[in-house]
Amino acid sequence: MRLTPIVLALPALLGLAGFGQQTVFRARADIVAIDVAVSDGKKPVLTLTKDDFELRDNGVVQSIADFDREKLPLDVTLTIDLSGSMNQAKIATIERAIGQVGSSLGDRDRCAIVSFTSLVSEQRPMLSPPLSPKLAVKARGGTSIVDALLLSLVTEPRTDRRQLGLMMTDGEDTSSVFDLQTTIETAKYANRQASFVIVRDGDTLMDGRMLTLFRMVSSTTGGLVIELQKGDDLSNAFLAAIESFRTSYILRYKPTTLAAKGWHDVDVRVKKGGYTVRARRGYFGDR
Amino acid sequence: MIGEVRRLTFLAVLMATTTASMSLIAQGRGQLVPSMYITRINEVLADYAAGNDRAVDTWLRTRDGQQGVAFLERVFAPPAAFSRPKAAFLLEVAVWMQGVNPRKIAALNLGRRMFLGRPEPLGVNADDDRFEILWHQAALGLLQDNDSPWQQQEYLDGLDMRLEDAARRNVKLETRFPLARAIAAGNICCRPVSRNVYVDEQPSTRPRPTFESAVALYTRAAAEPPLRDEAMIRGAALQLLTERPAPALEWLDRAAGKQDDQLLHYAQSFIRARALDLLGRPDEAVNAYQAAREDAPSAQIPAIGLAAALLRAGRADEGVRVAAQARQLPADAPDVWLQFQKADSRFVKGWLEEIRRMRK
Repeated sequence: MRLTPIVLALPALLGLAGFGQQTVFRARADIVAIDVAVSDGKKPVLTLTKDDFELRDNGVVQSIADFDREKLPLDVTLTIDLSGSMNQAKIATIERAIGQVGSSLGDRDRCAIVSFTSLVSEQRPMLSPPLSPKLAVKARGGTSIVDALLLSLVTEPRTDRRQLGLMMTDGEDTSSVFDLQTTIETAKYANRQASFVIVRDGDTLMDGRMLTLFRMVSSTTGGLVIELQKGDDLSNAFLAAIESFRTSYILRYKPTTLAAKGWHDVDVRVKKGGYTVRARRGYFGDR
Repeated sequence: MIGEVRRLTFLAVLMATTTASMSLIAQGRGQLVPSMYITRINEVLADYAAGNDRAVDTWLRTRDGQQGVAFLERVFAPPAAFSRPKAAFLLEVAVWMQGVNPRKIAALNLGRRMFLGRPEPLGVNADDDRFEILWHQAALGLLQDNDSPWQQQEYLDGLDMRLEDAARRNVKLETRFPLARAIAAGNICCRPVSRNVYVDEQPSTRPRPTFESAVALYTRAAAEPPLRDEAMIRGAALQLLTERPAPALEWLDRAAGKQDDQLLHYAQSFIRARALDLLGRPDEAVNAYQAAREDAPSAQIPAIGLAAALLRAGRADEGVRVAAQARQLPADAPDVWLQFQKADSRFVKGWLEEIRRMRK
């Protein structure tokens, strides 16, 4: 999935054509790619065809030019809360979950690991598996969830890979400098899907503002919010988020709406079945 | 009645026995009893007064120092007479105590009470006045470091009578107190309180400052020429904190464009960047974030802001490069914004040096 309409030059278009798409692309065209996850209850629906979807861009039904699933490799960035509330046992659980993620990735997939306390640190750059689950833990006061999330939203637009940002936290922000409004606004431009795994610790209550932020950013980018209670399996949550992303459909279209510039609302429906559809809510046109 | 007398007698005997037992136990363990602690405090004080800057540090590093510090009040509480060495000694103790520590607050309150008992009013002895003002400013800097705005207010309230007396006599004092009062009010009224961040509790007798009262205090602080620019910049930060980006820009524009103080210049640029961000002007925000980065190149926060603003400004490639740089900054890089928030805490070390020089 990507955020802004991608201006595809001819070589890139030829590259896309190499995936067997049915549409003949023009040399200069704004192509929008939208990730769409469809589920029936908790079960993903994997048998749909292009004609089963209806996609509206600013209220106007679009012709879906290209459609595929599980063809492009994944770039997964795990953003891990390593603040003081994460003790050794929790860190061991996180490392096990990272190991599981590593095992689930394909040869062409890649994974980066970023951690945060009051600062954000790159633990591992974006590389193919195998990945070492060991985390370098440095004590530092504070938890800057909003700052870490804002930084995680800045990634390059790519047509050859799909990008998932998966943030794990207990949701207690104590030291962020940036505000929710700036972060939510930035999510509209994000080139990746942002999903969240919230680990609640026993009787702790989560900051309601953080939950609102996670829900808004995930719905803007088409991501998920998974809330874990004490005893729930973190590895399963990571794998579920990645699998949901991996098995989602990619719908590509050339917008026919008049105003290319500015925010475009995107609404995707499946014509049959009463399924649950999850897709990003829109994008910024830049031309 | 007889029963009550018996009960009180029993309690008195019990207390006396317990106290005696505790003293014996303490002596048995080789620990000092209170009178010995007091003697030791006076010895350290004499050593410090004679010029040994390390005396307090050396003492507090010992077990006896850690236990003896509980008895400061026995030496320094009224009617103990004011003296510069004694006051400086108390500040040394407060500075030595890390983080939020009741002993730190106790030492600061003892010091303040000592100054209030100074025989001369402000305006009579310029050197003592300078010493006193530095001391109070350092105390407030320590409280600002602690995230304890109610204590800052209470501390300032305690000085009011003395300062008002000086004002009535037209004594001109150059202090940072007006700014400290605005900072405390702004933090109380408007800063989001996280459960994991220490903030002292509101005294039951005191009303909570409002945004408007905090702004009025910043305006009053800005009327003092030496405080003007900082009051404007910190006032802008308050406007931003309460999601008023347009007034924040107006306040910034009323401060001089180029601050000699690098931290203030950084804050000026960073607040401007964030206000422009909130106003949906990412192109201009980019320039302001870049200015902030020039003042604090190793700080992560302006790099995050810049990366996100570049993305929103349609310059994703540049944003991605800046984001990558931000993620690779050293984990122990100084948090410049936190330094700004902790206000005068950054000056405490320098003020303590000056107080040491003046203590004799």
